[in-house]
This record gives sequence, C-alpha cells and structure tokens, in this order.
Amino acid sequence: METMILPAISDYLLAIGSGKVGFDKLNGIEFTLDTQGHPVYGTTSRFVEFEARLHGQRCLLCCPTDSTCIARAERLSNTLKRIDSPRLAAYRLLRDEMRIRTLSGASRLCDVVVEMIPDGTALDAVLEKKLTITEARRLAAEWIDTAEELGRIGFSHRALSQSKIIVCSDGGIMLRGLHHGRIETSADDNCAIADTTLRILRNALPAIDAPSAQEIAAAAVDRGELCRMLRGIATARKKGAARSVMHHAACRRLLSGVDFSNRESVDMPSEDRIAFLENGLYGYLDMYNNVVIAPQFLFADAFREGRAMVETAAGQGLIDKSGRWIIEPHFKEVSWSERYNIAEVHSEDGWALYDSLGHRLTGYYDYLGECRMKRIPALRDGRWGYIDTTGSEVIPLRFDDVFGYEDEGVATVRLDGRLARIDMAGSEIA
Amino acid sequence: MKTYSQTIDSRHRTAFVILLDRSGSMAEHIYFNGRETSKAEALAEVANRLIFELLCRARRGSTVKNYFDLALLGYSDDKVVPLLGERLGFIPITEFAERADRTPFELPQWIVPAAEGQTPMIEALREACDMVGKWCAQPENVTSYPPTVFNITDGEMSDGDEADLRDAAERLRRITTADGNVLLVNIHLASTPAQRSVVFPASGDELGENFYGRLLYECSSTMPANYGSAIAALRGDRIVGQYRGMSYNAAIGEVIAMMNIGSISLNVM
Repeated sequence: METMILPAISDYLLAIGSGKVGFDKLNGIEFTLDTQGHPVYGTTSRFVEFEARLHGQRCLLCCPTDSTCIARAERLSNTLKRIDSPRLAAYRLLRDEMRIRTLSGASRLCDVVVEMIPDGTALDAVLEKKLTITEARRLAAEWIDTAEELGRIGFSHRALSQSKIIVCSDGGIMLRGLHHGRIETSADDNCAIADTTLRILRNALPAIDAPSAQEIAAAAVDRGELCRMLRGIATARKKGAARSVMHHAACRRLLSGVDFSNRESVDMPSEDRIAFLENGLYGYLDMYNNVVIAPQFLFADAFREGRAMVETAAGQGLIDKSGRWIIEPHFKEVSWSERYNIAEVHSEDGWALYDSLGHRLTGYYDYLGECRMKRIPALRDGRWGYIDTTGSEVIPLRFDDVFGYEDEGVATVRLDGRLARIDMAGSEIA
Repeated sequence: MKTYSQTIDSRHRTAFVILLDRSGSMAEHIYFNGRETSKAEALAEVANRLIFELLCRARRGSTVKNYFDLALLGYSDDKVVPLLGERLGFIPITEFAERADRTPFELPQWIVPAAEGQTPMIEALREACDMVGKWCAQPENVTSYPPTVFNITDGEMSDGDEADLRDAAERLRRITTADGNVLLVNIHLASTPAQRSVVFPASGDELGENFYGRLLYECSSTMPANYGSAIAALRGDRIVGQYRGMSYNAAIGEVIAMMNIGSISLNVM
C-alpha cells in the first residue's frame, strides 16, 4: 500500500546519503559531494534536487515529493522533447528510474526528473561583477531575444529568477529550473523578464530612467510588444525614450473616457498626438481619433518638443508632427532629448550628435552617453571625455572612464585606475 | 472562504503535536523494517522520522526556516509528559536542527522508546487541546495553517469512557485559525499483521461492527480536500472521497504513509 504514494524527502535523503540507490538509464550518474563527502542537494516545495554529473555533464537529479508535479513534469518533458529549443535546458522525466529502500523496509522504484545544466554562469553571478555599458547592452539584447523566442514558441517558465538564467560561454542564454514551465501563451513571465532586463542594464547604468518592471509588464499587450519596449529601454540613453513605455500603461486608464474603441491599441496622448497600432504597424492620431500619420512604423515613440523617434525596417529616425523626416530612418538607434533638443544617433560609423533640425553637429564617436547638465560622455579610441550640446569637445577625451554629471555640476571619472571628481570645466576637485 | 490553503512560511508557521501512547502494551513485538522490534521502538523511529521529514521540508540551503512548531507528548500510567525538554510546549523546528548534531543523511534519535503502565489518552487529548488553543490564539498564528495532531496508540483509553473521549476530541477539533479547524488524526496500531486495516476511511461503514474503530472514526477530523488525491493514492481509490483522519489496525508502513500525507500535503513556501 505504501508504494502508492511518493517517497518523502527523508526517504530520498536517507537512501541517497547511504548509497542505497540504483538506476536504470542513469547508470553512471555521479552525485556531487561536499567537503564532508555528503551529496549536495537542495529542496523546493515540490522536489529534492541533487547535484550530479552524467557522462561529465552537470545535471540535477530531481526527486518529486508531490504527486501532482509528476504529471506536470511528464507533459513538460514530452513537449520540450518535441520543440527542442536551444534556449531551454534539456529536461526529462524518467519513469521508474531510481530504486530506493524506504525506512519501512520496502524497496521501490521512483520517477525522477533530470535536468542537464548548461555550461555557463548564472546571471546572478554574472551581475555580481560590474559590466561595461557595452557588455550590459549586449547581454540585455540577448536576454530580450531569448524572451521573445520563448514567447514565439509559447513557453512560460513561471519561476524565472536570475539563478535560472544561464549565460553560456558563447554569450547565448539558456533557461534552467523548468519544473513550473508550461506551453501556453501567458503573461506570467513578463514582469520577471522586464525586471531582469532592468537589472542587467542597471549594473552598468545605475541611473537609467525607466518605469518599474510591473509598469512595463502591465503595459505590454503581448510578449512581442514587451520586447519592443524593453529594446527601447535597453537602447535608450535619454529619459524620454525610456519613459515612453509608461504611456502604454497609462493610456488605457486615461483614455477610458474617449472613444478609441475602433483602434487596436493606442498610446497616451503627447503633444496632441497619439501613437496607435494597426495591423502590426504604428502611426499617429490627433486628439479626435483622426489619422495624422498613417501606420508605417515598427515602433513609434511619443512626441516630445515636436519630435518623435520612430523605427522602420530600415532603421530608426526622427519625425516632426506632420510625419516629415527630420533624421532619415537609416540608423541603428536615434535617441532624442527634448530637454536639450539634440539627438544622439548611432550608425555603422559610430555615434554622432544631431540638432533638432536634423543637422549633424559632430564627427563620429565610439559611444555617446546620456546628456546631463549639457555634458555628454563621449568615447573614442578607448578614451573618454565630454562634449556639450553644440557638439564641442569641452573636456578632452583623456579619461579611462566617465560617469554622467550630477545636478551639482560634478562628475566622477577614472584616470589611470584612480577615481576622481571633476567640475564642469573638467578640473579635478580636491 | 477557502480553508487549509495558507502557504507556510516564516511568518505563517504551522504546528504539529504528536501524542505517543507509551503504555505497557507498546512492548509487544512487531515486524518493522525487516526486523522484529517492539512497537515502542518502531513508534520512536516513526516519530523521529516525522521530525526529520519536517526538518527536511524546512531546510533551504544551509539554513532551516522557522516553518513549524512541534510538540511531542507521551502518555502512559496516569500522566502526560513531554518527550523532549523539561516542560510541555511547542519547540520550533529550528531547535531540532540545532539538536540534530548529525548530517542531513542520518536519522537523529530525538525520541527514545518506552512502554509502561496504562493509557491516559483522554488526558493527552486535553493537554493537546490546551497547547493548541494557546498556539492558535497567539496573534502571529491566527491566520496560519491550523495545527495537526497525530495521536498514535495501540489500545483503548484507560482514563474515561467513550463520551469523555468524544468530548475531548471535539474540543480539540473545534479550535480554529482563520485557515481552518485543528486536524486530529488518530492512528491505531495493529497488534498482529493479520488483522484487516482501515486507513483514512471514507465512511463509518468501512469499520464494520467494530465499536472502537467507529469511536475513533467519530473522534477524527474530516480531512481537507487538498489531501484527497494523496489519500486516494494511498488507499488505491479511483475516486477521491471525503476521508476521515484515522486508521484502525494500521501497519507501521501505513502509519509512516499517513504521517507523510499529513506533512507533504502542506503548501510549504
């Protein structure tokens, strides 16, 4: 009669701890031992998970302690076998795989789940170190791609945390800890996806101005839109660009008294223009629900100071309120600052500064940072300095690293490995 | 409002009370774990095992979370005594971790076997009633998953009649937290393996004409619905019934299974 229910946690621990276990397909599995020679394990509310190696590859041997999780694991195991996504760790339920002897003396076969752990480093460990801005943006981009891909195949992880996101040696990302996963179209992961993206970015850009993960997740109608928003934030270096995603959430509330019901999705009004979505493309409406700029953009930011960043298949650009191109959409990234009336533009040649009429003000830099106090961090040939909003190199490019100016007109810089504080003219402050 | 659904975490602990019959009849021998041993020794091992299981369930990484309060009472002769510590009362599961002094892969011996005297079961239930009542009244516990009381015996009470037993059991079951009533699970051990056992009966008829079995049935809690599938699996039922938390003439393996069900169906954080 006892064999009808699952072993308890203590059954597994006592059996594996005393070596009284046998396997069928997993012959050759080696439990990882701690310094005292005991198996390394952890418990969740549904599994006891033993760390092990199978043919040299790290894995988790997961012993179920709740019968409901076996049916789930079986469904998941079968589905993952079918979709075989490179973004997900190998996960298999093996029926009657492990034989253990319980305290009551009975010998019994148990189901186990084996999850192969990808080679790489968990994201929480990656983020313990300080990333460069470029590394953070690259990692965020890879993460957003992963989230988008999982949305495409309809996989919901439902227990996402940084420890379950593995950054592989080739820079790719795989997810593990799949017990709670389901094949379903769901918004369950959206908040964690947004939160993870922000954490990656904030590792290198602690002052990045973005809505909360909850706001972003609430604003997205689907995974595709969520990822577009997150890409906007990941590539934005201006307050306005990041803030635009908040409009999606707010618009649904604020426009509740306006009849836009014939529209698939509308953004929040900004400067009497309202971005809207039609058949997958964005355009702009006026306040009376008339189309002012026809749907043609893959992404459409809110208008600020008469300009909006939009994205087409050819790239990002800047438009005025009639839809006229101020900066043609040929760029990887266009970041508009309504506060300083400038746009930082990223192309194959590098980064350059434009004014609000579309005139290029500078040559190309390897990177331009966020403008604060009319000072823009600029990188060329590995050295950092600052340009101003007219494009003049006001502080020579001589530093190892620089950070944005604070409101007091002071910035932190690193020179020859030493941190220092400089004023608006670039002079070091004692 | 949905009951028996509170997730157990450090701010919403739950409690277990184990009442162990340590009367003279527990010296009888049974076969357990491939060897002949006394019921008292087998039950001590079962109790140690339940504590160990709860300890495992509360362990997260290298720390043990303060998820459970545990009380172990023995009854024999004319008294109810604590089986751990000096006085009657609950002990946090974290203290068991400190006392374990072993690796997580060995079964510690917190409880030592004993068998002497009579069976003051009613007094034991009353003592449990007092302890559990105080526990549920504590502000930090009022919304917690309610306590579970396991009463493990091999015989009949010697300190009153069936009306007294019903009354003591009902008082215990009537105690509540916001998440539900206290669960009383009565486990009657088999004297010989040949006797027919009844585990988590879905109806009093399963006990037939057995007076003591029916009495235990009446005294035991109706198990919450979220235990249904695990109990059905234990019984081999195809359809989940409304089960009572009791067994009659249970074999020791069934006792372990019943106590496992009493702990694994909890929604531990």
